[in-house]
Amino acid sequence: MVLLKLENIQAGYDDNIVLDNFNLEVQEGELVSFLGPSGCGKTTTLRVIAGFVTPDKGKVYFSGQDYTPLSVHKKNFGFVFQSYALFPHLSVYDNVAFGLKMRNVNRPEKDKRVKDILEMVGLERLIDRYPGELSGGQQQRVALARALVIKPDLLLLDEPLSNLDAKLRLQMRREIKSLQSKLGVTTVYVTHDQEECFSISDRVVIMRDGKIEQYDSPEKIYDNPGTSFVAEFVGFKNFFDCTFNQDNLVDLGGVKFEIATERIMPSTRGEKEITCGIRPGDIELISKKEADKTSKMNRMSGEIMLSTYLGDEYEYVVAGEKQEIIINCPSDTKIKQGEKVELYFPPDKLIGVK
Amino acid sequence: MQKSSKALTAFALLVYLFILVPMLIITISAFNAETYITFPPIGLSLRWFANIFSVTMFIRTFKISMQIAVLSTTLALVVGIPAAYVLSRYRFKGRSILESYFLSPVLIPQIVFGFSLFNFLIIALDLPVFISLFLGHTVFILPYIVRVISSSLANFNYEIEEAAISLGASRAYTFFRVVLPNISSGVIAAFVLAFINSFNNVPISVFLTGPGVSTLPIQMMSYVEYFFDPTIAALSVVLMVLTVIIMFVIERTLGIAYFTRNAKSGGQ
Ligand SMILES: Nc1ncnc2c1ncn2[C@@H]1O[C@H](COP(=O)(O)OP(=O)(O)OP(=O)(O)O)[C@@H](O)[C@H]1O
Ligand SMILES: [Mg+2]
Repeated sequence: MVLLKLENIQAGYDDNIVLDNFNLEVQEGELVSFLGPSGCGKTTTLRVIAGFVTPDKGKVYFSGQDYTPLSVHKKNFGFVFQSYALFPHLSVYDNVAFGLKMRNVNRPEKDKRVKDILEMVGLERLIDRYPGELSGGQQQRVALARALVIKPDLLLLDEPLSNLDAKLRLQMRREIKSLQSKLGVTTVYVTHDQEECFSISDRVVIMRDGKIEQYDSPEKIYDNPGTSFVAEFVGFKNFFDCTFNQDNLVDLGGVKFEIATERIMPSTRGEKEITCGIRPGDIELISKKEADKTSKMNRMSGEIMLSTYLGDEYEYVVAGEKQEIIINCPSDTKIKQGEKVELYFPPDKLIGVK
Repeated sequence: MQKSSKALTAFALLVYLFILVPMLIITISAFNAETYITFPPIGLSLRWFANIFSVTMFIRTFKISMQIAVLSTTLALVVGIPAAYVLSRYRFKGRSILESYFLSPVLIPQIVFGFSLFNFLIIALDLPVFISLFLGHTVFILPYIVRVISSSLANFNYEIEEAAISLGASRAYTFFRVVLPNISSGVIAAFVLAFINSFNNVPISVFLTGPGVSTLPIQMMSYVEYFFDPTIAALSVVLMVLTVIIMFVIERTLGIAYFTRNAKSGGQ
C-alpha cells in the first residue's frame, strides 16, 4: 500500500526553487533513503514531507489523505534532526516524554513507554542526565527514542549519523535498521553516504539538483545504474564517450566495445552518443601471449602511470590509448610504473548509460 | 613573550586603577567628619550616611526611580522578547527598519532622544510626568532588551523549536516551554542591563521630570549644585554597595558568566 505520496511538488526558499515537479511514492513499512550530493534538495524534500516547508505547488498525501494543509504539530511524524536538537533544559526522561506529554498520555503509561524505548536504545541508565552530559552517540539515541516513543506514522531522519565517528556510525545504522524493522515504522532517511544508504534501505532515491535520478532497490541501482551520475555514486570510475553503432556495439574512436544487452540502460534509447562505464575492479589485465591470440574487441593497451596501495588492492592510473583509466588489481603482484599493460573490458561488466 | 605580557599586566593594572581610584576616593571621603568633601578626610564619622535619610527628596526620588526602573523594564521585556523573537525568526517587509530602530540608541545622542521624547510625550500628548517618565524610559531601554535577547536567540538552535513542534507542541507552547527556558539567562541579563540603564539615566529623565516627580540621579545633581557636603559621597557608596549586593545575588544564583557570555543559552 502506498503510504506517502508526493505529487508534482514545487518547493523552495523565496525565489530559489529547489524542487520542481517532484513525485515520489513510499510503501507502508519501507525504509526509503535519499542519497545525493550536498545542496541537491534532500533536506528540503524531508521538510516538505514533515510540513516545515509548505510547497508552492503540488500535494503531499498520507494514507490517501491530503496532508498538505495540515500544520506540523497535528501530524504524527517523528523527526530526527542532524543536530539532534534535544531540549537542553530537560533531562533524558523529559526529552523522551515530551511528545507523550503533548498527547496527554497518563503518568503510568508515559513512564512505561519512556522506559521501554530507552531500554531499546540502551540508555535506561542515563535517564536523569541532561543532553549536555551525553556523548554524541548517546544524544543521537535520545533523539531517536524521542521520535519513536510517540509511535509515529512516519519516521523522518536527516543525516542522523553524520556527526558520529566511523565505528559508531556502523553500529548505529544497524541499530536504526533493526529498530525500524522491529517497530515496522515507515521511514524516510537522508544521507550522503552511499554505503550507509545501501546497507539499510529497502529502496533508494538518488537525487540530483532537486530531481530524482533513479528510484530503485539498492541491488538494482548497484547492478544497473540508470545514468552516469548514478553510476558514479556506486563505484564506477571510468567513463568513455562512445558512438552507438549497432544494438550492443559501441565505438570509442576506433576501439570497439561490446556491451551485454541487458547492461544498456533504457536512458540510452534513441541516443547516438552514449557513455560507457566500468568499475576499476572489473577491468582485467591480460598477458602479452593471450593478447596476441584473442580478438581486439573490448580491449585497450596502456602504460602504468601511478600506483596507490589500498590495502587488499592496488589502484593504478593507466594512460590508455584515448584517456586515463583507473584499474584495481589484487595486491599479490605489483606492476611497476611505466610498464605496458593490456586491458580487457568484459561485456557483462560494462554499462551503457546516457 | 614574558616581557610583553608583563607590560600588558602593568597596563591592565593602570586601567583598573584609573577606574577604581575615584571610587575609592569617594568612598573614603564619605566617612569624612567635616562639612565639605576633602581628601584625605579630616576625622571619621557616619553622620553623612545618616544625613541621606534626613533629606526626604532622596527617599522620595529613590522610590520613584525604583518604580520607574521596575515598571519600564518589565514593560520593555513584555514588548521586547516577542519583538526579538519575531526579528530573529521571521522574514517580513520592514524588518530592516525595525532592526535599525533597535540600533538607534547607539547612534542617537541621549540628550536628543530625551528632547524629542519631551516634545512628544509632554508637549504633544500632555501626559502626566510619571507616565511620561515610565514610557520614555521604556522606549529608551527597549532596544537594549531586544539586542541582548536577539543574541541569545541567535545562539539557540532553531531546530530545537522544530523538534518540539514535530512532537506535537503548538507554536505558543514551544515559545513558552522550550524557547524561554533556554534564553532565561539572556532575559535576566537584559533585565539587569535595562534596569541599571533606567535607574542611572540622567539625559532623558532631565527632560521628563517635573514638579513633584523626579528621579534619584536628577535629585543628586541638583543637590550638588547647592551643597558640597559629603552626603552625595555617602549616597554614592550606598548605591555602589546595592549594586554589588545585586550582582552578588545574581552571581550566586546564576553565575556571573551569564553576563560575560551568553553562549550558555545555545544549542547543545
Ligand atoms: N533556509 C534556506 N533558505 C534559502 N535557501 C536554502 C535554505 N535551506 C536550503 N537552501 C537552499 O536549497 C538548496 C537545497 O538545500 P537542501 O538543504 O535541501 O540540500 P541537501 O540536499 O539537504 O544538502 P546537504 O547534503 O548539504 O544537507 C540549496 O541550494 C540550499 O542553498
Ligand atoms: Mg541536508
